[in-house]
Amino acid sequence: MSSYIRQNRVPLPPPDAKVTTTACDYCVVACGYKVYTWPVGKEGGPKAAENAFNVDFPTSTLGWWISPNQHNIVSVNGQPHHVLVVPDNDATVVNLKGNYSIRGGTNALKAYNPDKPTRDRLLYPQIRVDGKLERVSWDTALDVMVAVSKHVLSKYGEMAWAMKTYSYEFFENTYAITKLAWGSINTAAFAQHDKPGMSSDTGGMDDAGIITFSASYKDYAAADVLFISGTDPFETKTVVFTSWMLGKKLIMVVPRRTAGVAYAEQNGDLHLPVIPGTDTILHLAINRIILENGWEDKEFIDRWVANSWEVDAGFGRGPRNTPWQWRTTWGQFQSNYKDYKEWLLKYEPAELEKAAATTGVPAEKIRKAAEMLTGAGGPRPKASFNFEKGNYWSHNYLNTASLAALGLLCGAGNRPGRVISRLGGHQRGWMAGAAYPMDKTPEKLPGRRRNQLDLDRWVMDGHVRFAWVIGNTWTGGQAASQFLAAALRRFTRENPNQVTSTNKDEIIATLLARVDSGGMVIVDSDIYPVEPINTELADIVLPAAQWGEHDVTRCNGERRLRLYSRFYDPPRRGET
Amino acid sequence: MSDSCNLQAKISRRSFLFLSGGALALVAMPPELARAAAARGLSLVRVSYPRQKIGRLSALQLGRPVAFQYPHQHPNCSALLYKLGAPAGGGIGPDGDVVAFNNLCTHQGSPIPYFDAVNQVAGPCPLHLTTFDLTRHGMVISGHATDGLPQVVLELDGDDIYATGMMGLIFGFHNNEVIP
Ligand code: SF4
Repeated sequence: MSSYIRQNRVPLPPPDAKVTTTACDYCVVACGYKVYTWPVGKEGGPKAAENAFNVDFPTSTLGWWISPNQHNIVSVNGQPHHVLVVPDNDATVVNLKGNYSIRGGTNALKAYNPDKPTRDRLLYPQIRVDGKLERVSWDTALDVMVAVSKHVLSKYGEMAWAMKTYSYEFFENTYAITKLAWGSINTAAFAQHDKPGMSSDTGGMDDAGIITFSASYKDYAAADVLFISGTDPFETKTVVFTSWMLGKKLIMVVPRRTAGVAYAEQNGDLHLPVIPGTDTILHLAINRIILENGWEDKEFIDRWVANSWEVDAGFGRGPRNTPWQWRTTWGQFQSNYKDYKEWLLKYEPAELEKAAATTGVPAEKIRKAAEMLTGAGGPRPKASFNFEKGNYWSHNYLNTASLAALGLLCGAGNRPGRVISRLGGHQRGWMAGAAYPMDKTPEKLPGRRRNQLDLDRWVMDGHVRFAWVIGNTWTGGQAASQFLAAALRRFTRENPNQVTSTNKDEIIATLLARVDSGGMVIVDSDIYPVEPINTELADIVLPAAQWGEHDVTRCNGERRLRLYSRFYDPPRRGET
Repeated sequence: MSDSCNLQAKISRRSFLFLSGGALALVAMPPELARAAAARGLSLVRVSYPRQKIGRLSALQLGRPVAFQYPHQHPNCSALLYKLGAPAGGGIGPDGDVVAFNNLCTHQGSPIPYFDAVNQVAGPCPLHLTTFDLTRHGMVISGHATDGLPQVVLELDGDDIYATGMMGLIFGFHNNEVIP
């Protein structure tokens, strides 16, 4: 444990400090930052001409500054350097004028520094010998992985070779990861960090033809009313809230009275404290009030929502996300505006009093939401609809389908200030380098369509002999369970074939015997020790480079491409 | 913790502050103290804060902060002296509830016009809503700032309250000691 000592100074970069650009590594907003590095032993001065910012210190109130928590010491080409990771106050997009949050504002502290808490970083490849992780060379670790993989593939087939990986840690990495797993190995035993299979997060949105990341941040500034469901953006994507959403009429659908909700309430905005899992009924109740009063945007609906002819013909649905399969479910899912209205006005659970009882949201608040979103017959405000995990990670079809319908009724959908969009959690770094081998998955939906494999179930049923885990906890992921953790433990640590030597051939022989006895070998790539996946379960642990240690790219929550420059050495660079 | 307190007691609280890391100059001090400090990974740095009378205990009212300038006559150095009515880290007076803080938000330097006397909270800052807990050395409760409000170190001399130092870097400054 280390105590926090307040700093009374921060070193200034000399005029010749190196400046690189990057974006914040944390939330989906990806605020722009500048990185200043210079050798330890030099410092700039407080006069503008004496520092790389070309700014006089003290800087003025209501402006720009560097806080001591934006400073660290890192290694650059093996030499100790100061580093300042500073919000980009020239930013005219995303984090306007250098806005930043407490998370991104401390980006510098995540850089590896053996004198700071980041000393816990994984530094070299390790193999578990006699139950303890022992340092080995990259060659040894990779040779063992190759030998076990070859054996598993030839004896048990591709589906016994599994991968559980992050979906977001930069395009370059996910491209290579999927090229390996889906292309070269050609396995469907694959899942992203947050769910057990490659299924859609937001099925109802997709079928409604809404691209889930459709908004630009300008749309929030252009909107009059924001319906925000299943997230408090002030807490979790802070800058999009304080740079783009302040001053808008807010309808916050979250169970708890979080800080952003408290702000909204203080401004006379609306908090709908929904009972978790009842969002669908809440949306339907609002939709019903809108339809009962004729407050829907008829012009928009007539022009843009598919009529029954277009539905039958297969037109009018989403350009990208909509699965082709919907066309083969004739008459089962599709609806048009007229059918929908008829159905909803008869659907009892959506009656206001009943819905209030189900959702825990007072009837007058539900009614108020319908009024705020539509103008209640008066001038129509520009309404946008935003949602996140609290909405789509439960009942993800009905919640998102009913929310899409609400948005469309209010005239939202890819119009300036009138969008239906996820706000996002992590940044978007998924770039498939091959196609998911759907023909390999044994799971099927009713009828003839295949379903993406549930990797957790596949593992628990004993089908996997080798798994490579990349940058995620797995046992703590969505829909994971103690049962999954117990299965992983049973197939690895509780198998009698345990490595007792650092000799490569002996390691390989032991792990092949493990695989042939029905057990499993786990490799984990990460930057830190993670309980229990690499501290307890993995046989091979590989260190990885992180943000700032290599040049990489990905997108933020408005699809804006961000570049993350390398500015210091990964730990143990060049060592084997 | 108690070691460094003992060490601290042997030297004037006013003239030395404990700082971590080796980047700061070690100054003249009794060699046994220097050795003891070095052994604990501490280095001592001399700071030249003025000792300045900022108010009287008997004049303070609960929840009515009093403005003063410290440590410099610079617009960023506006501070508030509070009687919180609840014990606070660094608090003085019989109830340990008298504290003082610089009043610029450490995010983007807005003066903080709001004080929530019921919860002993400064903020929310009008720019981006950061709030600070005045009972816990000004640490951030919620919001954007990456450091707490800088706390003014106080001493009581009879009824007189003196400011004697700062804990935390003042917004806009790169070094609290450099007189602008
Ligand atoms: S809002 Fe998100 S991207 Fe921006 S600084 Fe904070 S954590 Fe980083």
